[in-house]
Amino acid sequence: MNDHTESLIADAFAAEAARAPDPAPVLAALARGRRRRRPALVVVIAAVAVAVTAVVVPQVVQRSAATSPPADERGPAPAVTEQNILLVGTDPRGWADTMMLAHLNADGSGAVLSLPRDSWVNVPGHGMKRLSSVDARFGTEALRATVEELTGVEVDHYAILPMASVGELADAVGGVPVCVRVATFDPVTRTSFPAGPHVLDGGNAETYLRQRQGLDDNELDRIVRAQAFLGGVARKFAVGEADLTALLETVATEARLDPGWDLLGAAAELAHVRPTEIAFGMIPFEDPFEAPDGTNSVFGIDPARVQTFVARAIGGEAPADPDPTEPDSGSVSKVIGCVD
Amino acid sequence: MQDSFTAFVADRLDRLLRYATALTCDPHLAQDIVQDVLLRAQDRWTRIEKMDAPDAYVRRMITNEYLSWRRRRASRTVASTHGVLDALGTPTADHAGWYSERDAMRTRIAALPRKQRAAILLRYYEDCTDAQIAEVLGCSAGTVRSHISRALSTLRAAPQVTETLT
Repeated sequence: MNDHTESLIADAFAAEAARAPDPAPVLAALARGRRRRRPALVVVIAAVAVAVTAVVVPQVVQRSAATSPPADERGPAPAVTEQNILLVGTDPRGWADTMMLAHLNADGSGAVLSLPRDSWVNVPGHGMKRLSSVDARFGTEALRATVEELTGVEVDHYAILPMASVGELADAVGGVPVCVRVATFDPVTRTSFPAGPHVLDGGNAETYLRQRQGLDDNELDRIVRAQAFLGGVARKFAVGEADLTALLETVATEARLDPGWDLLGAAAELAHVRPTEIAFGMIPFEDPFEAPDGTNSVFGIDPARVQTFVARAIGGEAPADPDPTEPDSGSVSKVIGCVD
Repeated sequence: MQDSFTAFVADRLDRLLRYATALTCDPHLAQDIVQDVLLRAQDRWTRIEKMDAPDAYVRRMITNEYLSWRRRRASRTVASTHGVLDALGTPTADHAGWYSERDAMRTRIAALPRKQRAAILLRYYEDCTDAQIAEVLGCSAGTVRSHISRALSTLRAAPQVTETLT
């Protein structure tokens, strides 16, 4: 190892660090406690980057300033606190059957992104593991750290619900409308769903969501069904046929929530979520392979692709139409029609 | 709770700004990133202060904020003009008129891909182990070693430039 190069590198960093800016404006902003929306920050940085590089004029393409007024010209406080919520549905042994990251924007729109439960991911401090096992084996803080590292965003809250309780949720909103594309029969549970629209309730919601468990290649089908279920819940609210308080009370009773979350206290705020403006999607994933732990195959994950996708989905930027030759490139859509 | 956040900021802000400036090679960008990160950290301080190393967590927030995709265009633009500004002997250059070996290294570091720069910053400026760097960057220790070895190849290979600019 070239000692001269290494000491030059250390000197260079020290010299760069010495150009650090005045801390006073940061202290002032913290004292005000002002929290800027992400899009506004993007615009500010674009403008600053242009000023710093006056010698060479860059072409910096960013969101237009017209859509993001500077913080001090903003109107009344936003209706919904921008936040990311991790939703997990667990099986009887505590492993995740379903996992989604929901992002809510201040204007009530949002995105729900499915995370395949059999993703092979890095758990900080523990190495590569199957995503479904993280909470049960390493605890919820480890799961939180795993999802934050995977997606590149922070998890503000989580709700961990046994799948056995999903029927209670369906009843709490007075039934969840879904549409089954093709009649199905599950030899494991020996249950069937005819084709066409259904209203899921306490009697069949769990069956619908957990059908085809244990069979290969069923993960993606179940993800779509979970999205259809949430989409159905959203539709009940969109047409004014569901009671938010009843839903939140059921979640607060049946689910394990993060300690910092007063879910019922958030009801007034969550009432501003616009169910027609919630998009559903799934993160991009790589080829499946045999898992070291020997059970179902796991999906490889490219964290850089996932983080890029999540940042765009949250930013409301519609990703380009997925390449039909690459079906696992991740996509987001507001329409869930009749699904398998 | 807020007292402990205030104390944290009073104790760490200068250091975080220096880290962010060395990482981004852009004092204005560093200031914006540190401010945004600390505002978010303030919101969830109850959780962060209970961690083993809150300052390491905040440093990770800063690093990830910079590495996330939205910043790509701004940072690439700044890095590509870094050498130009230095060569013109801007007021921030220590020795106006001299393009020293150290400044040449600064320019080459600024031109590295962001993740490579973050990896060598964490090793040579923050003295982190490969495992610590892997946690910050969200990759394996092997990938960290690969980032560092590629960065060092680039930084060693460039000819040492020393010339007088009048």
